[in-house]
Amino acid sequence: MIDTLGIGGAERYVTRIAPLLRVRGFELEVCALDASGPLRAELAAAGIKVHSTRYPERTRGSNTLALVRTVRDIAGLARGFDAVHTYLFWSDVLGGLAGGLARRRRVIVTRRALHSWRHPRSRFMHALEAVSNLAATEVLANSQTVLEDAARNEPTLPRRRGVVYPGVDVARYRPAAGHRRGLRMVVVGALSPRKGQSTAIEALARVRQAGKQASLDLVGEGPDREALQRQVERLGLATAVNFSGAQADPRPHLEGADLFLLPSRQEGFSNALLEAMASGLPAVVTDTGGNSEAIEDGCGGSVVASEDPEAMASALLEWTSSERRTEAGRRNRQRAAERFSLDASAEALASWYRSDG
Amino acid sequence: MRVLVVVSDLTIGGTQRYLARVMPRLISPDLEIEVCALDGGGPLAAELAAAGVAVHPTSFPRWTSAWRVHYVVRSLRELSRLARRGRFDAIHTHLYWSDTLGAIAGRLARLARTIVSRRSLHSFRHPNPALYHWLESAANLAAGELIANSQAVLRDTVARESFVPRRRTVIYNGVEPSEYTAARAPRGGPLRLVCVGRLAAPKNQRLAVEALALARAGGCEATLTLVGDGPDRGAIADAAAGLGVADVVELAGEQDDPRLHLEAAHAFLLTSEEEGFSNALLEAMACALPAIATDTGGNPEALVGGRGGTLVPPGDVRALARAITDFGSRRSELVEMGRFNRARVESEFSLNVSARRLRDWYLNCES
Repeated sequence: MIDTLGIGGAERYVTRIAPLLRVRGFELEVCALDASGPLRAELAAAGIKVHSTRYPERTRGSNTLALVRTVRDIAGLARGFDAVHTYLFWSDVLGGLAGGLARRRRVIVTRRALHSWRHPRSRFMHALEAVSNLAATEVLANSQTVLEDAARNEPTLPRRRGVVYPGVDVARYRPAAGHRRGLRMVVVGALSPRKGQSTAIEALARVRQAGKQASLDLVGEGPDREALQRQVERLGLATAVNFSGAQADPRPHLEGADLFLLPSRQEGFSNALLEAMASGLPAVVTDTGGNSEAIEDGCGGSVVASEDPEAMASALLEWTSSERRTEAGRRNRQRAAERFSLDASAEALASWYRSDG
Repeated sequence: MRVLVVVSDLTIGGTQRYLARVMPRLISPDLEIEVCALDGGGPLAAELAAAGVAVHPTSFPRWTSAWRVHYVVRSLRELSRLARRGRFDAIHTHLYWSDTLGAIAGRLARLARTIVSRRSLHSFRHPNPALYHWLESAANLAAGELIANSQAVLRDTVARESFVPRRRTVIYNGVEPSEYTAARAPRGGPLRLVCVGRLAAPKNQRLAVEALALARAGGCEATLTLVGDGPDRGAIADAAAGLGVADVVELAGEQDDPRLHLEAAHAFLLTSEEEGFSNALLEAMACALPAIATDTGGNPEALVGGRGGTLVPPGDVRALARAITDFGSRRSELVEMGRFNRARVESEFSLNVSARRLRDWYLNCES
């Protein structure tokens, strides 16, 4: 179960992992609350059957009758399966309840972001989440940090808990060549407060003040664009910061960079970071969510406190040597291939499905 | 036959209440009963005296924290003197201190029969220190017979204690059916569930609140009344609020008489993790309520699954929610289940039945 089949981290993951689970012997179908997104075709091309519900997105949460009806619909569908596995908030809630109602032996809900970002802070949402947790038999998180955060914030979280890291198809990424002179940094992510690009710009200014040649490529679009552009002009960085806008394929930007910067204030487990690792880039990341689980501090990059431009700048200054960057990038790519590949993720998920609670 | 019944105290508690009510029913020309309360008695002493049962005190203090060895020795001596001088044939002890001191006193007084009781699971009976356990085992050596109030308690005793007497039996608690009237909640409206018990970890009422929320999310219209108070009250209220069911969960607090709440309900819930034998369940059954109870301890001995209600695995919120939903969708059958429970109390768990079995055991050593 997933909310939509639009372009998003969870949606992409489900689309790519489904065929890999099928070759591991699972019969698998996907149900989206609204299945009209672009990934539908990709799933269909892989031979995965896709179901939809009649639950319109705009009334979500405001129409209790529609909620109950959707739960019933999903429960009817779920009766044909041994397990229900849900992704994203509304699917976790409605699919979880439906799985419980249909008395499925396994009802797996997923946590992929820190609790404070999962849903608006309303008592209704909290209650909905808490009740649906009771219907679930187990929970999977995309990082240890996210799991611990969920356990802290959700008193009714199922007792059976595990971590399955997302994965990246390393073969699709070429190692970046790297430059000997200057430091070209890239940030990939929506231009929004959560992603913390302003901290990256601030840190860039300090690195340049220290006399180092450095530039920043911001890949992504979002509500913060104007504010960020004003900040860039105020700091006199117009020539050093490039706004590349949203990109369907971030690979050229990764390949042209020397270092990946992840300045997020909050993160579950960053797919962009995995892509950067697959591209053989060292990474300076903030200590939030699963970032510190992906990057070995000191070997593959640095882990710094979030919202602290000073700390980020001094970490960046440690990566001015191109030899050191090349070595860290090589390690990151190898680590991505071994621990965070799509295959490793599929294998971990498959063994979770096979294990009997 | 003269029996000296010993109890640690006669304050208000399940065992004390049971003794105060069952003992007067035993008295007959061939069976004389006298009671000794180690701490001199409480409110129930007067009740026993009024029913014509002599009540003796000892100088054992209403013990609080420290072990006072001289009190223990003095009580032991007083008790054994009482047993000997009163020319009793048997001593029958209840609750921890009376079970340990009474058994040893009975042996010192060379009584023909020394009967100890077990009325709760081991984990609830005394704090853990080895000294308590050791004294209990020593007293078992002195005892000749053991009466438990359920098969579950007997199994637990045999599993956890040493030197358990060979002659053992189960005599269930009883309630007086005539004191309970059949529940008369309105046929329609939401399913009204009631739980009676201290709000504390072993009773696990939080599970009831969670299951209620889950059942309601599945479309079952039900409400819950929790009778009782205790350390978990705050946590339970928080859970109800967090699950969005605060408006359908009533925390009724401590009640002298739970009957009013039982009679206003459609079904009784018992969610204990562990249970020796629940008097609250018997009272609910006497009120002709169907029940959903956890399949643990003495619960399956009292409640017949399928006939008088449903037994669910302890701690399983999904199973409990299903049972509630099931009750909600079979409202017309609940009345029949309640009748079955009431009939079962009358035939198996009434005070008269309990008294008759105890009398038979005293007189014939079999019941």
